[in-house]
Amino acid sequence: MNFYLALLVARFLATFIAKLHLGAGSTWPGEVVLLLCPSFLEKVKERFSLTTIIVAGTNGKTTTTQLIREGLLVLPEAVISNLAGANILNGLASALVINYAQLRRGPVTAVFEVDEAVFPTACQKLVPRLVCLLNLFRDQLDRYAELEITANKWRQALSGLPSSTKVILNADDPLVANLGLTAQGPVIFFGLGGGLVSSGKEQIDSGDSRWCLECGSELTYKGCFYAHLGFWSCPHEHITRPHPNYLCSGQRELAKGGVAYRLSTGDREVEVILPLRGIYSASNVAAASAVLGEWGLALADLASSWADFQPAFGRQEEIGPVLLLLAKNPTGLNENLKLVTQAGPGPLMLMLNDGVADGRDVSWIYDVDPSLLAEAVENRSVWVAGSRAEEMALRLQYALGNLSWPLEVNSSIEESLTKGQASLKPGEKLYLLPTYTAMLESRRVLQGRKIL
Amino acid sequence: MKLRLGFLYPNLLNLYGDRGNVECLLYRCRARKIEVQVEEILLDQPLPKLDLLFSGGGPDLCQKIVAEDLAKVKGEALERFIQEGKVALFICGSYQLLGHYYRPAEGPDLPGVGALDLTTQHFGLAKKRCLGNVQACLNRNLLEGVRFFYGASCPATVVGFENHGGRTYLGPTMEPLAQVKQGWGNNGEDKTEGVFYQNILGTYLHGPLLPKNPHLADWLIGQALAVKYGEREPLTHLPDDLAWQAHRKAWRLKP
Repeated sequence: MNFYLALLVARFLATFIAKLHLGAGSTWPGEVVLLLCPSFLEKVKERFSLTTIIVAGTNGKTTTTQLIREGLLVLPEAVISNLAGANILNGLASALVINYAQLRRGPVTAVFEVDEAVFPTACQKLVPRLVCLLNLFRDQLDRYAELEITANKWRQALSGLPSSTKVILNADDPLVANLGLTAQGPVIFFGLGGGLVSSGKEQIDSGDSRWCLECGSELTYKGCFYAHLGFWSCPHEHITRPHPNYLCSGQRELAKGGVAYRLSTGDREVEVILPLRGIYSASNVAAASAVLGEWGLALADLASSWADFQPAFGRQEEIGPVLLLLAKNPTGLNENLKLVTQAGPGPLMLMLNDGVADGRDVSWIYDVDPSLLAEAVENRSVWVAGSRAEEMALRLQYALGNLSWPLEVNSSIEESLTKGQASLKPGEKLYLLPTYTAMLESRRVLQGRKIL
Repeated sequence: MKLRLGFLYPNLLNLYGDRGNVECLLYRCRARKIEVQVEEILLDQPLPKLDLLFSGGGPDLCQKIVAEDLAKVKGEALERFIQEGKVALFICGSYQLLGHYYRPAEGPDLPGVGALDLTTQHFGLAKKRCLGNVQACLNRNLLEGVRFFYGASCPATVVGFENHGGRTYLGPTMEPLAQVKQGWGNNGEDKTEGVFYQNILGTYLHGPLLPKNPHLADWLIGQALAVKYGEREPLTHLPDDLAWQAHRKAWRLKP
């Protein structure tokens, strides 16, 4: 169908959804516009002045995209993105439909987070000016198959991009860093500094990507940040962690709230304060600083750009007394359990759903480090909810080595949230670790409205 | 009483929470005052003396490395272990390698240990990947043993999740572990799932199979003790209410 006719129909649908409060319209207008005009994304790129930044990776896409977006707002170009986390093609198309007025008015920078499996198609259609690849963790193996398969698709996608596309990669993740070998354009690395190496036990065991792609030997680590991210190298010196161009070298919690991050590139250094905790946040902040730095922003501008940053939905987001910590794969759950362990008093609520967006296979909960589960539940009551609550509860009991350990198990998310909140004593928070659809449902219960 | 539990290639074949099975076996032994010593058996290391062996599944790259190591280092000892009537659980990738060969969609066959009369073939994109929730009825001969060790009250069923490209075909002398009610099983054609040979269980139900199938965990433990000490004894009861709730829910899941 004609581009403009398709656009008209989709815009009508978007208005309809907004007027009737049927949701944020972050997927349906895009679904329809792509159905009517399959080459919609290419045509937008052809007809308007649109430059694109694509962010992909297993964990941290939404937060990193939001950090980049906030940074770009100081520039004269309009900035659009898929903030609701709708990160497959219909989500990207929806963002373009909804922001059509901006496209007509003048140059637009789009910063899109893109699903791992959709990354190659998105690259082909939008030909981004810059791509930023965060990490590859075990996640939804029933959907993405094995990590190497995803890495291979990414490798092909990068080799298909023109030499004008800048590629920004995580130096700490061996599988991601090695993608630099196939990129046509300039490659820039971000990473963490030696001061952030975890003092606890090594977690490379639960990580992936432990093998040299050249010789198959197990990579050796001089230090590990989290999961398989660290100072890695092949024992036969085939490959080694590249030196990051953008570095996050320090992270400290401030008494007045917030976390200070020390960022540097070359001989410039800056401190920024963000309401984001955890070592994985340091990696996301480093990635965002690399993208913004390469986009021409001065590192010194970041502090003011991020001064009013609010966490993305479900990612360290606070709604009333509830802190939502999205945990959809082993690494995400491990890292958020560490945050709960360090946090103040209050119950822990784990939610496990097995919807398509969560992964139908819940086996991954056994890749979670049992000692982290045990530490997180110390001195806390524990609630377990979601469509596969019993599996999560059982996993927890095995981790604690006690099949009679007391737990509140209830498959209803709404009931669990209501009872869990009612149980709070003064000064307590409810620490909620949900899978993706459980997070959406929890937000709906807590806020009384839909996000997607 | 004491058992030596081997975990074969823990860093290569550990794709879908396979470690959960070891956690489960350890807990259920210790809860009954059975001492367990876990041996992680890596590449290039010979197979030590064991009473019970577990091995999981891995990605293609690792499967290849494992096949080479089996051919070079551990294959003969593993075949002897199996033929001597020792007790083991093999899942997905390691189950496939017990047969004669694994034939990938492209490239040469990966030779198997050849201890079991079965073969596996990957048909590439010509056939769909076998993926989803599985519900199956246990082999009656196995069920007899399972109920002896666990108690007569346990279900005759097994539940889990499968995700494999290769399709396995059992030879005429091989019995399956279970009969598929829903799911693909060995090959999506003959309703068989896994293999039950002497004291060996092979299955495509990956990852944390044992926590929500505690009767199978107890069969492995009880049988390993029987082989080692020459006496067959039922195991003491453990509070498995939550495990059976999870089991019953998994029995009703859509593919």
